[in-house]
Amino acid sequence: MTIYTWEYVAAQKRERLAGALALTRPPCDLPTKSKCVTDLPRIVLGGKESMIVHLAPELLLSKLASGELSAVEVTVSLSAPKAHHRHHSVRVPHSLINS
Amino acid sequence: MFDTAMERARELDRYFKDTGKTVGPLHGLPISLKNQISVKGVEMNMCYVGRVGEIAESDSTMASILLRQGAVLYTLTNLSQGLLSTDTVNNLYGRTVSPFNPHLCVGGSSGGEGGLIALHGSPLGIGSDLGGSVRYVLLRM
Repeated sequence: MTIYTWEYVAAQKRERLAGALALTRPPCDLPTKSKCVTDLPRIVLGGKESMIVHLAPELLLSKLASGELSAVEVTVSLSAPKAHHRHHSVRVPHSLINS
Repeated sequence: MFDTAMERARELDRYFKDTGKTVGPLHGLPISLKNQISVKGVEMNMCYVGRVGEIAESDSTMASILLRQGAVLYTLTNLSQGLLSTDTVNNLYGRTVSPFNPHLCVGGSSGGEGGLIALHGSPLGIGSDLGGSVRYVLLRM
């Protein structure tokens, strides 16, 4: 049985994560890690997706319950499934605030 | 986890279309979870290197309650090693800093939740907060 060091195991895991993130990196340049980045979703997401990620949960729920928004639309806006090779909300924060 | 979240969202949309009803009060809402809340089939490493690759065999109580109410569980968030400090840093994923000021840590142990929600990456999330874990991110100064 091969025994790996913890450094190796952690590096491998981070590499897999970086590989997945690379598929969804935005084409635009992300700001450097020197300032507040809370406006970024507004800047890099499209109009409807930006609206969705800025809605308070109770408003999102009422739009979901009325059929105005679908669960797929909301989930896509907040995440980045492989089928959608674009940057989405969760992945943008990951690359910005994890070091 | 994104793939299973998408499948879940499609199921919820089908249910809504077929019945005209929601599954529950959280129908279709994506919810992020601190990386200590097990979801069946998803790796639950609690940010420990030694647990990399361990797949949860069943849903935790929290996950099953949320799923019953219609939630979409779509991501796990970073935490401090062992949940023991207010700096979200561990040997597996590294450190998470504040989206308001990257020179500050995001707090913890549920710093991943606080940071993600502050950055509009999640509409609602589950952390645990005894003395400010989730809220530290709001200390911007």
